[in-house]
Amino acid sequence: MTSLRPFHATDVFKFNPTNLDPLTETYDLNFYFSYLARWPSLFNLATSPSGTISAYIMGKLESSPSYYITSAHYLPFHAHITALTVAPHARRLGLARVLSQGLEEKGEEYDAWFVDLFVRKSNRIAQALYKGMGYSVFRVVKGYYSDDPNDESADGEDAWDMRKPLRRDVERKHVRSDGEKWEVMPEDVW
Amino acid sequence: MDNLQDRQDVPIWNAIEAKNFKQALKLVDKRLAKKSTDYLEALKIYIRSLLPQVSEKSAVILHLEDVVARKAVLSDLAAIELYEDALEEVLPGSREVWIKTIGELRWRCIKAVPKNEDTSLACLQSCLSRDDLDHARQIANSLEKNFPNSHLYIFWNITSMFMFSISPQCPENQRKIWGGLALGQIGKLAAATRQATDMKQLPIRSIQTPQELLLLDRITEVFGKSENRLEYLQDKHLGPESTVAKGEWSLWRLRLKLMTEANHWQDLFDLCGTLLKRARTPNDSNQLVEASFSDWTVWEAYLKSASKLENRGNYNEIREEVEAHLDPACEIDKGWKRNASLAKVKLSFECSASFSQNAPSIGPSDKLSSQPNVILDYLQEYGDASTAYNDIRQFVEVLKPDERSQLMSMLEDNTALEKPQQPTGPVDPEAADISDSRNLSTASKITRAVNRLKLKHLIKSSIPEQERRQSFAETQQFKCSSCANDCGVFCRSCLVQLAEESVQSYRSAISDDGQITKSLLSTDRHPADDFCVLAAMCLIKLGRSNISPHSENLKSSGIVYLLQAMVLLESAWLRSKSNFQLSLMLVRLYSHLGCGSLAMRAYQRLFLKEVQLDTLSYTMFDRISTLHPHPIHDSSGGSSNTRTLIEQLQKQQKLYKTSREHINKNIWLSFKHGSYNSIFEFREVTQKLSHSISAVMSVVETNRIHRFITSKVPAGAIRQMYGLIPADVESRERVLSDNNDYETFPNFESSRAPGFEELSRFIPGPSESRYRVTLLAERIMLIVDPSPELNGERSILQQSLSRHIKQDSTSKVGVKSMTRAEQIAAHAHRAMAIILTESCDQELWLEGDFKTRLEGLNQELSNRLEELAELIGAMETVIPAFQTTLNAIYTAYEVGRSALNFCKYLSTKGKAVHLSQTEASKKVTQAAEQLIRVVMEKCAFIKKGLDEGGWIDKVLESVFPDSQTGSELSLTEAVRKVTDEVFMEEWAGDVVESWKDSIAGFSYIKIPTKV
Ligand SMILES: CC(C)(COP(=O)(O)OP(=O)(O)OC[C@H]1O[C@@H](n2cnc3c(N)ncnc32)[C@H](O)[C@@H]1OP(=O)(O)O)[C@@H](O)C(=O)NCCC(=O)NCCS
Repeated sequence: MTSLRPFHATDVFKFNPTNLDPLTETYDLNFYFSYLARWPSLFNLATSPSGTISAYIMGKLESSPSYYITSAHYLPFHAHITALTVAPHARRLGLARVLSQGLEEKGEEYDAWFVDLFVRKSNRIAQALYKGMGYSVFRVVKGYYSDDPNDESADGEDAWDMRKPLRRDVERKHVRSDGEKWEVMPEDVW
Repeated sequence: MDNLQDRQDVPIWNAIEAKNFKQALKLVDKRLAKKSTDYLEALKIYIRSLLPQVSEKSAVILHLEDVVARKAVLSDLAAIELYEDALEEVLPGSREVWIKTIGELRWRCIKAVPKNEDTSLACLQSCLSRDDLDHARQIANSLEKNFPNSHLYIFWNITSMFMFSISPQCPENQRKIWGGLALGQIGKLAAATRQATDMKQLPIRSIQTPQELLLLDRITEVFGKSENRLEYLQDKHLGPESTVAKGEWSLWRLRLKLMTEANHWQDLFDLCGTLLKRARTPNDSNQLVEASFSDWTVWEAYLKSASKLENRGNYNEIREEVEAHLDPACEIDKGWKRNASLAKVKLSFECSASFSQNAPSIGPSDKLSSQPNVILDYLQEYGDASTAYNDIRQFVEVLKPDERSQLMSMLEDNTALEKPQQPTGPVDPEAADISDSRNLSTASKITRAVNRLKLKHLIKSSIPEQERRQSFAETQQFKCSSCANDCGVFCRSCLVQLAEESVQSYRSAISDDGQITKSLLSTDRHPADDFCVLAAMCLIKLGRSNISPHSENLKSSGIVYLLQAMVLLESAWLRSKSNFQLSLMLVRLYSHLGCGSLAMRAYQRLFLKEVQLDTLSYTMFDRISTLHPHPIHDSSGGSSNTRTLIEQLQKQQKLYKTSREHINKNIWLSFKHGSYNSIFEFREVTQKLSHSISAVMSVVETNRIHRFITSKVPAGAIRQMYGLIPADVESRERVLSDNNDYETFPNFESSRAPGFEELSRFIPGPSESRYRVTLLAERIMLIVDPSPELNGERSILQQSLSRHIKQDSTSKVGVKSMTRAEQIAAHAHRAMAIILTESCDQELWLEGDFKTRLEGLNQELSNRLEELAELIGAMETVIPAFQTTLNAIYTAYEVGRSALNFCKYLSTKGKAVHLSQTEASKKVTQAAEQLIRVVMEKCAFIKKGLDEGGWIDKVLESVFPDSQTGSELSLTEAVRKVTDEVFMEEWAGDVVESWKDSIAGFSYIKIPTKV
């Protein structure tokens, strides 16, 4: 079954089915709660018939800070997927798609230019998900992740910054067809 | 030097920074002599708070109280902040004193300068962070009054009043006042929104955001009428459909819930029908933007209202909606289509008769109405998702016995389980044969087979087990409804058969030359893992139901199953390292077998962090002090493994401190962003963390480990204890919050039966009653601890002990939550507690029967110590030492030691203790020494046994015994084939090493030297 609801602060006591998975980081409470404090409607989850957590998405809506406006990497008002995770037993049911569509709709409602996210270069499954939903690579962030879950000896891993334009971007100004060729450093992304 | 106000103060601050406090005092006095200011007064107090003398510390508090009593108004915020810092130095983290002094000063400051917005904001934030809700409420009120154009402050005021009214700080007679005011005010704002003509230009004093709507609902829920809640939610300007609500889904959920509670069945039915229709209707740009209305909550409400209305026509409408959703032309996401299919199953269960007439043809017509067929239909469509089992379980549970058998034979035949090529055509029995479950060449075939096996386990094992558990049969002997053999609650032959089938399926699924693994990320789990998990579950049940005492643990009959479960899980883990459920099960099994270091190895594979340390630490650390209290030796190395147990527990304890800061920070952030609902949720998290059962566990275990290893508890650990144990823990029956996560363990049991986490407990799980008992014991052990460091603590501890004994005069010891050794220990500690309190209470001495009573208590204590010695002495099945053995040994040792300390402590008190205690203490000492001697003898016996060679072979013989026949033999053979010799040798070696490491702790056990 598919049933969604907002993520409540007390759900941090129950998110182990998603967070014990190695591709999902567990942060301190400040991280989750600052999202609930600022964008409560963009933090949602899916439950199982017994009420356990099957998946969740954390998102935000913002632009780069104004002091950044002259930078080539300035981001206009957009939606961002900060975390999207589905418990291993609940994968391939469409939960990730349904949850991210919800964020896209919020992006549309608030007239954002696009939705974006970072994904590990090796995470082909997540990439397949996003590509299937109309996202494309906008740029590659070198060494964005400090570790590599597939290779303990590696120093880190690159991220793909993927984007999907929303209605406001009529001319498709904010997407690239050759994003994989655009490399930036972690300090360039905000 | 954040507080610097005047350049002339620089030398003072320099002296403070150089820790030259005397000089700082001199300098400040000099400045004060010239001109007295609030700031300089406060600075002086701050410096005094930094001085080490206790007298200075109490002077600080006295001064603060005096400032408040003088009705002083400090308009200089910097002075208040200095006082605040001073108080923090003297009474870190205090709340009550803070509220009475600093909170009050802050509020007076606002009253004096109400138009200073920054000061008001700073003070409000500060009061909120100290949970000083009454002052916060007054400041928020002042903000609203003085800045009437702020929309935000209107809601801050309402939020603060409401927060205060529902908090324990609010006097009972004021609850209604503040709650009523909050309700009244937000009600007016709601009315303004309702009456508005232009939703784009709402007046300042109106509800304008989804979070404000949620606040309205929250307040109305507590102080208003439920019909008002619903009225708001059904209003076009305030309900989920309104512009203000911005599509907030939780408002829809609330509306459906309240309509259900109000029995508005017809309206609910109509609403759900409309929502579901909207979900599948594209908009002008041909998009299904409202698809999320197909949420299962809506379908459930739809079905529930139909069942209440009892009108066949309604069911037909639902059926039409289901079909519209499932129509291939409908482009709604598969996630939502699955809801429609599940609704179809539910519908059929609720009204099979009316639905069967128009059911799609899927087989011979006589089978159409059968509920097993409906289940099979669903499996055919969705069986390749692992959630199919969870979706369908509730329906299987309500089948009648004959239907269950029917479904079982369908599952056995494995017919009609595959997705048909042509969905409407009849199933060709021959084709079904080809799609045999053993053809496990793809992930989806494996998942189908796993689901099928889980269902077989449900029908064959879990449901009947629960029925037997609930039956009133006294003998616990039954005839198995599945195989007709004699059985207990668990049926051995069914479990053996299921385990074997699971193991065989597992083996065939992984023998694919890595084809499936190729398509997976290295962090993915293997789809066949659940075969292994299911097999291990059956083996654990078998192990639990076959416990027969034997002098050597490895020869007792249940052990073979448990070892096989471990072998399977370990070997599955090698292929699927990210499968945390394998690790959780292994932690439990290794702990049970007394392999502390291996349990730790499995636990560390979970990589727990942050709040997970609160929710999952119990899996390893609950009772660690009676499993493996000494440092863990781990041959595998690895940086995180070298961390001591204490460090790991401290890491958990740190979480509670930092979380408090994080939460406070975000409560403020929520105020600033108008996220009112989040504020209340954060407060709930604070409540749960500050009363966490796991925090208590971490304190108790830390102290016990310290005491075991070094014979004393350091002052730092005791400070932690005061910080983490809720102050009100003694005063009420239930205060602790059980945040432990028991749900992440794999569980395929019937939803009516205990979950597998519970079924696999070999020793009682965490419970508030046990922790209360351990806290009492902890207090006693600290009071009688001979180390001089604790001198300062003793009187406080003694007072709290007396309070405890007075409040809780019953001698209740929660039997279910403790092992036998723990129960006896609890009685012994209880006796010590009463003796400690009463033997020094001279008023009681005057009572006529006092002496007899005291003798009785001492007798009880000696008896309990003897009882423990007997228990230890009589333990036979002890080599190698499993958890129950270790638990008894370490528990007995601890009580023995605390009884000895207890006697020594009383003997130092001279005439303050009743005369007769001296004699009684001698007897107690004897009993305690005898207990420790028995413990030491048992330890030596275990050690000698384990020092004898050949344990690796013994382990291997136990996993794969020669003596088996029949189905048990074939199960063993199946397990053997999953592993190889190299793996087995290595694993058995690890197990033996781990046993040896566990008993290394015995070397710490000794009779304390006499003073
Ligand atoms: C990536 C992840 C979120 C996908 O979740 P999910 O709920 O299983 O994905 P969905 O079922 O919604 O899949 C949507 C589409 O993505 C693609 N997809 C998903 N999983 C796939 C897989 N294992 N192989 C190939 N494609 C896949 C498919 O196109 C799928 O559509 P389909 O099933 O209709 O063919 C999940 O695997 C996950 O939690 N991974 C770990 C955390 C993570 O990587 N998060 C992403 C960080 S950016």
